[in-house]
Amino acid sequence: MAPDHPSPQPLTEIPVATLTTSVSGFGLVAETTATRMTDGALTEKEQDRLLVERSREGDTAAFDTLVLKFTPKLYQLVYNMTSNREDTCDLLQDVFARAYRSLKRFRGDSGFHTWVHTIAVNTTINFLKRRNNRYAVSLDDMDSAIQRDKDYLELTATSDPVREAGLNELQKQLNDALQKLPESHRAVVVMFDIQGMPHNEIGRIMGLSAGTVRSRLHYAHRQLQALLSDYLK
Amino acid sequence: MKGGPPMDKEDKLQTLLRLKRYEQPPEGFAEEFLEKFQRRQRTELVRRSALSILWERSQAWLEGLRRPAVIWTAGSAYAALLLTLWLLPRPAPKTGDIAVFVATGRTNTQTVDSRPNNPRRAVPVQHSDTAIPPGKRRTTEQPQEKEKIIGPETKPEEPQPPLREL
Repeated sequence: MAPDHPSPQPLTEIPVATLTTSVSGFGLVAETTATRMTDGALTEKEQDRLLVERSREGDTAAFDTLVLKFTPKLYQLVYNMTSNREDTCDLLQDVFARAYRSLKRFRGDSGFHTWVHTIAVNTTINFLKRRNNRYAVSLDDMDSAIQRDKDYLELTATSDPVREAGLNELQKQLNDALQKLPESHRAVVVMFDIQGMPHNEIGRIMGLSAGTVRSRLHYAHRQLQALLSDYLK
Repeated sequence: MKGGPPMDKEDKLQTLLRLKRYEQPPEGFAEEFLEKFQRRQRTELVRRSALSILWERSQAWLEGLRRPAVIWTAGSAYAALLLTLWLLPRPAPKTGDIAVFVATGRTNTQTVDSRPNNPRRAVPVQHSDTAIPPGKRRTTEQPQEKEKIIGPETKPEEPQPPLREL
């Protein structure tokens, strides 16, 4: 009797091409094949594990796929921590180079996503500590899609300062306020408020308990409220 | 746009922060970044010194050694070696070595116990019964009792037979 569901395909037999992440442009949500998976297919975590295994065996194309897949997420994290796109590019190069060199030490206790985020956070925090307060802002352009964003429309409708400031001024003020936070608090705010990660995941990445993450978030929000008070009236 | 309940400060802050998601690098950034990364990897590979290659290979070799079977075998061999060294008879100190010291007018004698298990254990000291009173010197007339020596007795050296001429 034939089984109801086809047996899962062995991991080693799936070509890398089917796992390639769609990164044309820098969409707000990086669309991957995993989001279109049907029952019995590989989950995103399993895909990552497979790609890591292949990279360890010397398959550079597999690691390229991982780079393409995680570049948008890591770019967002590092960029919002540094507020400088040139520094972000350099740091991302370091992050992936370090990840590639350490691939043999990756035990797989956590997902590749968590592991590579940990490398990115640590690399960026170390860089920021060396940089101290001497930084030059170099910001990316705001995507024009913001003009249609429901939250933005609501803010401009209800808040005169937001409407009057305009997009560029608002962007500058937000980045300045973020840069005034301590590095570790900034990382928590970026991952929670901008990237939408849950407390537990942030805790795993930063080696903290979920309670500590909440506490840092609370402290950082209070500081940001004071810094951005004009826009929060 | 005023349909929902009014936002408090915390909600407004979170909404403002979410807007930062719209800060985007130019289109095609990821592909360009990957190309740069590949170039960098290739350059690093070419520029690597022989020392760093040797270091990496030795690390890989050491990682291979960290397998449990190898650890247990090496550990057992080391333990066996230590046990053997501990059980081997140690060289005994010269028999009859006597430590003599004088204190408060009494002549004390200590001998070294040459038993292999505890070569440094001192033998209880036996004091001479004929102690010299303080301020007086021992004279030849004063009877001197031979000190008792505890420990293996030494045999006087036997005269060696003369060498025969070949």
